[in-house]
Amino acid sequence: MLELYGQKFSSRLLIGTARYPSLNVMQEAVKNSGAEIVTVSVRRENAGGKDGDTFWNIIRELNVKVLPNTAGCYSVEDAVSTAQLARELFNTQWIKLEVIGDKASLQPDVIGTLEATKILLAEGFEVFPYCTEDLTVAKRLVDAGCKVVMPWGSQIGSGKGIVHEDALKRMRAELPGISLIIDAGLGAPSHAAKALEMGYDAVLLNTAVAGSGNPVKMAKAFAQALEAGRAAFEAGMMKPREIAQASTPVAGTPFANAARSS
Amino acid sequence: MQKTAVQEKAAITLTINGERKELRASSPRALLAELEFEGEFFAIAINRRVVPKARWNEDVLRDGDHVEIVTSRQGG
Repeated sequence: MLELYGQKFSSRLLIGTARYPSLNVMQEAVKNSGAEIVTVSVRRENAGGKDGDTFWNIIRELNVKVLPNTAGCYSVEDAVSTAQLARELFNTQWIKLEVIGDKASLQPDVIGTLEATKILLAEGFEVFPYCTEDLTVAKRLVDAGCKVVMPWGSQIGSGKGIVHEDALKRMRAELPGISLIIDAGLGAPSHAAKALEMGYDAVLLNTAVAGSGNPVKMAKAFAQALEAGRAAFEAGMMKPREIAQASTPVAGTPFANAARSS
Repeated sequence: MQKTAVQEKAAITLTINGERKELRASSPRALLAELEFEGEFFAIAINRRVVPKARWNEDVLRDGDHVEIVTSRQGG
């Protein structure tokens, strides 16, 4: 079971709710993904409440746990204020903390992230910090009190998968008691399987499903990949070898050492 | 009944979601009514301080206040 701040989940997928062709497709994709946690954002309401309600009603019908984000925040102050609004709006201590440092790469400002994390933890939040593969930063987040850390696989929306595999493997080995989630950059179900094979606890993705040719079908593909990846991790994979090793026993091979007819 | 209270008050300048407006509302709830917002699924902050829903009738809006009214949207 996946454990996040004391709550247990059977699905290891956290799925985003943005960029689907329609709300209906989003709803069906989330259902088909088996995800028990969805990410949502907090945005200014300028339409008098008509638009927000439609979206929120669909989320409520899905009967899933909501993880609000601070997407689009470039400062500690904005991220903390957004988190406080999210807590009031969704009545949850959970916050996916994003403090972005660079507009082009959407790379997290890890220093600001750590600073905002400390403020939010002190206020009773359960912080899911979006960070990079940097082990020192991850350790500082854990030292601050995070039970969950969410390093990127690659840049948000890039679909490139796990770019810094060695660093992320090291992070997994160094933080055994922490729930680690690969957040961002996954594109194919095989990327998600890989993350779980590496011992990561879960993945968080959005565009890989929403931006696929058939989000409802792709959602299922990710669910299956995650199941396979986790089973492989639990089973324990063979160690790679440098040279071949015959899988079929050599003893008793017909015609071994027999004279050739011509 | 909020409306009556609203009409008796002089206009104040509020910045609502980044936009300056002349309004008469004296509380967050009166503000939602004056802006003709429907429903309840909002969170409100005055000058970055979140106002819990339980205090929407009580907290006082003052001239020059910056108000954020937010709701849930799609997110990754």
